[in-house]
Amino acid sequence: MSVAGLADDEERWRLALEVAGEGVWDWNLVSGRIYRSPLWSEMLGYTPDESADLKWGQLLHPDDRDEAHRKLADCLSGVAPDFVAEFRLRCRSGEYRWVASRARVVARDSGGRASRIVGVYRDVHDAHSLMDELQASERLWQFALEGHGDALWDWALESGEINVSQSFRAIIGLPDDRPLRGNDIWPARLHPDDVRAAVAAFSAHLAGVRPIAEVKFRLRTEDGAYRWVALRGKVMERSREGKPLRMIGTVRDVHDQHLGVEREMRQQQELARAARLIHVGEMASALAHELNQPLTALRNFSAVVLRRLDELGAAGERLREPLQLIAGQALRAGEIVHRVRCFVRRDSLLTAPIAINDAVRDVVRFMEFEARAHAVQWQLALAEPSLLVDGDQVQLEQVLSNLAKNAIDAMSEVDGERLLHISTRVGTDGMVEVAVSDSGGGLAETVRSDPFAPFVTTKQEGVGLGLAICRTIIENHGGRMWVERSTRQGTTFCLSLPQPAG
Amino acid sequence: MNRPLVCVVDDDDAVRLSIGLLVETLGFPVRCYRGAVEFLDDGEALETAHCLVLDVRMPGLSGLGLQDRLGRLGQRLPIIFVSAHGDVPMVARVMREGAFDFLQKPFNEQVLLDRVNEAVQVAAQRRREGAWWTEIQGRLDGLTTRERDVMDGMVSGRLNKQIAEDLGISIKTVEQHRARVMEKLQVESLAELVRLVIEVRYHAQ
Repeated sequence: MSVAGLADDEERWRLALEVAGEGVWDWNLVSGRIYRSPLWSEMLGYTPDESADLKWGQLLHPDDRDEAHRKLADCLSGVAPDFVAEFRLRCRSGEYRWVASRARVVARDSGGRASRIVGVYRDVHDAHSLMDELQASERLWQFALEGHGDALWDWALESGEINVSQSFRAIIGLPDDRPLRGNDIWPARLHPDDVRAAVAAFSAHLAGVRPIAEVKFRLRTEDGAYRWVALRGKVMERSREGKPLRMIGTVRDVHDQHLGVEREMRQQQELARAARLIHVGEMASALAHELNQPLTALRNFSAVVLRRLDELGAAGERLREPLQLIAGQALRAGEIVHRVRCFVRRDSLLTAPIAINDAVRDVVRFMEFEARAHAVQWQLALAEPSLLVDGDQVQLEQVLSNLAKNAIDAMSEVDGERLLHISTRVGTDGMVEVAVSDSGGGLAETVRSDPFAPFVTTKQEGVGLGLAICRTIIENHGGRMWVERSTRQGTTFCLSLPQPAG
Repeated sequence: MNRPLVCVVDDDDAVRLSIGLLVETLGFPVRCYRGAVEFLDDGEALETAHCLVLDVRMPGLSGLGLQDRLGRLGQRLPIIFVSAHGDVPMVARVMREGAFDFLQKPFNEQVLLDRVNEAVQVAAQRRREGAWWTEIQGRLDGLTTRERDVMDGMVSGRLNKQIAEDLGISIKTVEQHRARVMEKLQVESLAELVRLVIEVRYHAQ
């Protein structure tokens, strides 16, 4: 290969590298001459003439100088095969830019001393500042999360090493900074009953089914007690093959909160059970009514025929017995229905004097969320001091919340103002009256004639028992329930309840 | 007089028809209504009904509401409630308001028929009494003021002479008024007159 050919070849390589965004430098250690491709001066803002006289060592950021020089020395002496370094160089403007460089000794003299070194360099300033920002923001996040009660963990899945924040150690009661492995925490410290749920949450996330691993479990602390914690975690790095490498997340001590929630859930379950019992009872009651009507007709019709039988003379006698049996069976069916009803009915109402305003306000509180979700405003016109009624608070609140729910539903479609008005007063007969009004579009055609009829509903998911149950409850209290008004401007349901005796 | 009318109000078609047919076997004319308001609209029935078989729970005006309305109208029509929903507070309530009876559906039809018969008799008795008092009141209203004064004296046990002195009229005039009172009130003796007047006063109380 001729010398000219070699030069051409070098030129081609140099161009190719420059197109790829890499500059080239070629340093002759014997002559001290250095060649740098134009990208170099462009990057740092110097003219080509200026750059010819600049020394690398003088441009290096003081903080990076020692390391860069050490690496270069290692490369020149042959301790390291390549020179690989990132460092900051001073620009013409006085600012520094991050540069990454990679070089190799290409020629040595007979004594083994390096005589020529060739390298490439690349501007990595933007990537570097991003890293700086990331580190800064990571610190910020850590600060924010810890302030919020979230402890942090950072788990290298390959090595098993896990970094946890001080607050994480505080939850467990770990006294020192001794290094931890993931296994030391999960599953080692998990409550045996919670392992299954935790494993499921982690594997669902690792498999990509859930965007975040999220699970609550009991964590054993150093003193042997268990505390409820809520964990959230996410794989932040995966290998090229998709294998999770690093997982980062938070842990929060939710022990007290969890116990509170558990207590609340138990109460809710009891309430729901009571409501279900009432529901079953009312269902039976409604069913009983619906069955008793045809049974009554059946009994009566057969009785009519029996009474008319004499008019047929002897010919009718053969019909008498079967007709009597029909009539008898109708009554028997009625008795069965009655027994079922008595069985499920809570015959003992737990009545006590109740301040009706308290019941109304309780219901407003229950329904607050629902009302807000539908942009419904409450308007209360309650007689003060509160009127007293003789009733079962739970059942009355069930009735009132049913009416409120219906009112909210009735207004969910209207464009105008959505007002839910509840008022109390004493009626002409001395009973306490409660009126629940909405500004909806009035009762639907299908239910207008008898809104209390069981098993008739306008709601897609309803069974049509709500108002039937309400009416039964109110009647069990010795009161009445009726529709005061239903126009296109809204509907008013009223109920009356007896005042406590004496 | 026509046979007494029985009315049936129930929103369930089959129940209404069956009760109607049943009551007809007693030989009473029957009118059926599907709602309380329809019944109230039938002025003739309101006037002549001797018994009302009434469902408690109906759309619109309920049976309880109708009972209340009739009470306010001064209608003392005997009401037999029938309900598929009876419970203690409801029964207590309608009975307190003066219902004639309360039957739980389905009922033994003989019980209903017996109660309808009794109710009709009670209503007829009330009507007869009512008619009697109306008649007597009419006769009393036919008296002049002076005749009534004389009657009051007679009932108080005063002699003709004393009555004449009390009123400042002659004994002869008292005697004439006395005969007129006996005639107008259609009584034969002083004893009969006294009993009648006392009954009227008692009834008026």
